Amino acid sequence: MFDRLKRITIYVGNLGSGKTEVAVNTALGLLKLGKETALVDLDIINPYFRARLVRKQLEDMGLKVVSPAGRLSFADLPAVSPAVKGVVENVEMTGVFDVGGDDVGAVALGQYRELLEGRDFQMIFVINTCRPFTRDPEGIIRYLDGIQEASGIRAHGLVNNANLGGETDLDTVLNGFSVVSRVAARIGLPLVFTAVKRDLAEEVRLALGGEAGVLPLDKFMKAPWDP
Amino acid sequence: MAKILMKGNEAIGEGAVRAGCRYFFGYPITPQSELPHYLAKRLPEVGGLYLQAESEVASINMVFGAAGAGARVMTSSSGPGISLMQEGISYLAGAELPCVIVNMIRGGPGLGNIAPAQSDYFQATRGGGHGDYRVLVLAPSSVQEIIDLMQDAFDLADKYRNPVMLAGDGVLGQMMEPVILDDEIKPPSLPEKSWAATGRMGRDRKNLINSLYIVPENCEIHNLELGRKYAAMEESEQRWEDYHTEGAEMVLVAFGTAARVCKAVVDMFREEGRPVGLLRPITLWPFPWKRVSALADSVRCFLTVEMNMGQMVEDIRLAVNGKRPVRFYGRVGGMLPVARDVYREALKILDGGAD
Repeated sequence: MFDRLKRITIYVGNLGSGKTEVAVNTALGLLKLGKETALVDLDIINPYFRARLVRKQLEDMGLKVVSPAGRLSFADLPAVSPAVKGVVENVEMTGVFDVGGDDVGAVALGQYRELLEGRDFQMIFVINTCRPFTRDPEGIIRYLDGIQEASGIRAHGLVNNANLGGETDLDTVLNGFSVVSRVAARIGLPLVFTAVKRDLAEEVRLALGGEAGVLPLDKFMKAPWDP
Repeated sequence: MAKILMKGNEAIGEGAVRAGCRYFFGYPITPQSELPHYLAKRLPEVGGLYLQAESEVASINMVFGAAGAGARVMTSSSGPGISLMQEGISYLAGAELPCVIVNMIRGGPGLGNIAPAQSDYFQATRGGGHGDYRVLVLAPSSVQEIIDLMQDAFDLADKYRNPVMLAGDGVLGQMMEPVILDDEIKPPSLPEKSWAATGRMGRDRKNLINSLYIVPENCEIHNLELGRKYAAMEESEQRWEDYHTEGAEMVLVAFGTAARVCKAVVDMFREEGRPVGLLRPITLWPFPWKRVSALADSVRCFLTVEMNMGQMVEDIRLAVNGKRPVRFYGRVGGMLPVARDVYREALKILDGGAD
């Protein structure tokens, strides 16, 4: 699945679409392939449940984590790390960007538009069809347009991340796949892969057939009472 | 029926819309900003009005106006913003106006931080502003419960003509859980509000919305009437959830996010066959002292777990009335209690003697 990705993968999507989990798991997957990988936390929107909260855990696994450091990591300020530029420019480095939710979050990405021009990158739109405003193709396309406009960057592909948290089952994922496929056909973008919690991944892979990419997810953004 | 994945803050918005709320006035503050963000999109879809005011003081006074005109109306904020609203909340209570106020509590005092806390318990349950008044306070602990309680919040506000507060925290607002929603949104059915200032409509008297009682005798009568209303709320509206309290030797008491952590603690004890339970207050005011008082006859001790320096513990001690020891465990400043730590604390008390 990872051979479908460029050197730099930028995940955008609406608030709560699961970008962070998809980004963390993508970065760890690339790392396992032996690539020097940086996870770039560009989330200026949500101070809860964002990648920097598990920074130490990810760094211990060998990932480079680029996010505002120290006191700023707890703030709801639109601060990004100056190290982001280094990840884009270093051709030896693989980068996975986690951009904050909605068009508002995508504004933070816009400042790198010129820097990214001509480089080996792709912007991927993560979709959870179980979220309130992205349940049908019309809503999804409206959100995608807003994000493209705010960032000034065109999306290159879509990810199906349909889930109901702990209550996700095969139907949830397949329904999402069907909706995202319709969006893909309508706007002429590829459905790059389907992300799904690890214990369902094999079942999903069988149901979707050999061609469809599947990214098994391990959960990093946990509630305080999660085991 | 559809099952969708919602953040707590979004669920407050959707729950309000489904309860017939069509007006929202507020000012952004973390960790509740997803709520105004959601309603800014959602209210126009149902013919409602979303307005970002210039401040929290303006917001609460806009709520006063809409409530006075008989509308179902809501505002929301967090700690510092709720403090700014206190004058207006006192005026709403004084003028007997129904409305819903959401406080997604953050770390304090002062500017504090944007992390989750329960340190506004005193402010919420003691009135908060000036004068003798109470606000009915609901404390959900899951996203589905938020949806369900929003209907009750608006109904109770109308029933008692009194502000109702929904008290949560950042974790509850930000976390996502599946919720079940009806496909259809019923048109709001509001109780008749013969007191609302909507024009004279042929009546022989003007409806005035006011909290000014300049003659002390009249103001005393007004206070006594309010007092009877609060007594009726204490009598009829105490709500709680029992979680394995049957035969419990020790009962943990916690609300909201802390209660979620405590459920995990109770499960750890029950797995070992130790009789530990949880009492989760759903109304913080009126505090469910009836249930606490009854439990005090059978349990050996209580342990209250809060995300503050010990606030609800005072209500528990009042309800227990010296019959059993009441111990306290808290995390503060935006830190969360960890199940393993609460378990250890409870074990220490159980094995070492509660007294």
